[in-house]
Amino acid sequence: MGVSDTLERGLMRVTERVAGTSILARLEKLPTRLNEFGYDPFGFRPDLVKYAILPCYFFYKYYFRVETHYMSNIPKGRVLLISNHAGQVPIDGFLIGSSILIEAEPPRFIRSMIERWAPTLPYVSQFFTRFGQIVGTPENCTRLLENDEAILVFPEGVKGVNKLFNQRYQLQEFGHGFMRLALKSNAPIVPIAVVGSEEQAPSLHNFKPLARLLGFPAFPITPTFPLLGPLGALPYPVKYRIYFGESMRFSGDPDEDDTEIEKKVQAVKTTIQSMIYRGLKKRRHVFW
Amino acid sequence: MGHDYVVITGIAGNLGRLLAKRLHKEARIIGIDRRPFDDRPKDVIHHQIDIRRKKAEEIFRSRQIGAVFHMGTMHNPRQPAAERYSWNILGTTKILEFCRRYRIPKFVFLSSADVYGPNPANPNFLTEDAPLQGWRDSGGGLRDLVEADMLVQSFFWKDPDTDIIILRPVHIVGPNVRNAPTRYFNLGRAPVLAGFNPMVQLIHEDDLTEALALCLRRKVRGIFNIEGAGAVPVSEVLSQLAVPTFSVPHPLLHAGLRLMWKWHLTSFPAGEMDFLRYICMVDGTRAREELGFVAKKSMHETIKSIRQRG
Repeated sequence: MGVSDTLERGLMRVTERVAGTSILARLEKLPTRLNEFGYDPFGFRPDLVKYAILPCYFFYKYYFRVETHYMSNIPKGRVLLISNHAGQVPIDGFLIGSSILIEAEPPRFIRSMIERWAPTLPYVSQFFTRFGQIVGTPENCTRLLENDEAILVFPEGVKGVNKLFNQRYQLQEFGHGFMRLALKSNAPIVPIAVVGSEEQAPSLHNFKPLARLLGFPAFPITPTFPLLGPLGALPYPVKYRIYFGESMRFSGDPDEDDTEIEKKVQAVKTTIQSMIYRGLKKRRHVFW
Repeated sequence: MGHDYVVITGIAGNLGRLLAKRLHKEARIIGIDRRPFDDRPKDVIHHQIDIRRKKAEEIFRSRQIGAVFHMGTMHNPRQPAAERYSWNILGTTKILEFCRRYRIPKFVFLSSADVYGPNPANPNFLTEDAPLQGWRDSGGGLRDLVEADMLVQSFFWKDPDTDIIILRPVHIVGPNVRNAPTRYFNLGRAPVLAGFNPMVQLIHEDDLTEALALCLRRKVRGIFNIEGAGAVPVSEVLSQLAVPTFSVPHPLLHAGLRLMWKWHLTSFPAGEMDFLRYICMVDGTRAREELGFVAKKSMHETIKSIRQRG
């Protein structure tokens, strides 16, 4: 007991020194509904978040040096955060989540919708569940929105993450699910443009046979991977810029025909695409 | 309703006994079971017969019956499959036929939330219209229960005059309950799957009998998920009960259990390990709103009751 207590106090002291004294107080403010054992109904345990702050903060502030713009566009209550998706490893989701936890006022803990096969992976499944990340079924999403949670969705899915470097910052086909959910739950949509993610791991080629063999969605060949082994898979320390757009509201029948939904989806997509172009124009260098 | 008889099949089972004791003051109870029910309350009539025999129909023909609780399904995975199938499926069909023939106003079937099956793509809280995937890769007992559940559902339209109710409770625990979850949580050293720790829902036996009793009082029909006080990870239940655990990678435990099962060294079929791997949780909103059911025991009391002996 004694050792772990000392360790915990030490970790918390370091966390406060690095991330500022207000950081732990911010965590207290996270809105949650917990049972007598400290879990929310989905298995999220907010008291574990404080142990993750230090690594989170390191990557957020020092490795990727994230710069956020217009974060005040995130409304209170239920909201769907819709973002572009890139970079072979979903670092963008992690950094958007960190930005809202570390910088937004009041802080929020976003829930992202993970792939349906994630629960089949040992340890990974448990990690995601404890940190509030949830399998992306429409039922789960609706339930969370009704609880006034903030949900992060990448409508491009794996098509976005695994695209090649020559397609960088070109949005892939958007799924329609998020729009139907927004209409059903009457939730506003905040478009998000992430600039920087594409350069963290430029994929020159997708080695499909090996991906199929390993059961991965893709097997990217980058300038350093697999050349330099596992170390080469580490994302490059690019500078991230995250732009939060003004929230968009849509109305209509959630069960409408695909062609009608498609129009609304396109409106979000073009907004994000133009936000990306603006962000790229302002950027002078990939690494700073 | 008060003047009519209430039939309980499987009355000699642990839950049957609890329900009989819960209801015998407010209704006249007739029990049907192959097993004897010796310590029954004096006002409970017990017929020690096989529900599939001709004599069983006599019970329904001769008396005015207000409701039937069908809890007599067999889950023991060690029973020969043919006998178990005949008991579960033919037995249930027989009783449903009696209900239709003798215009019995109410039929309550005790199913289980296990019929949805643990599945990686499950939404966290399954509603009553979710597909029943409990047959996947699991012991035969569960497959029978899925089939019996669907059989009862088909009588929603075959027999519109009877109010048919299906209850799908989460894992039932308590001092009187002996089922796979209570046996697991009472192990001296419990195996857990390395890297997996799904959320589980438990309900106390007293809460379950209360839900069954509400079925008698309320004019409702349809399917109801019955949930307890909440959900916790499997590891939390084990640590509350101070059960020492050891972690085993899933393929190893699966293979080991299959071998042990073959040599009669375990009572857990390997397929049931998926309940320690994936979630199978339900949304009890419908029962709360239409049946008026809310679990009274806290999660703490429910977990502690696993160690009490009734």
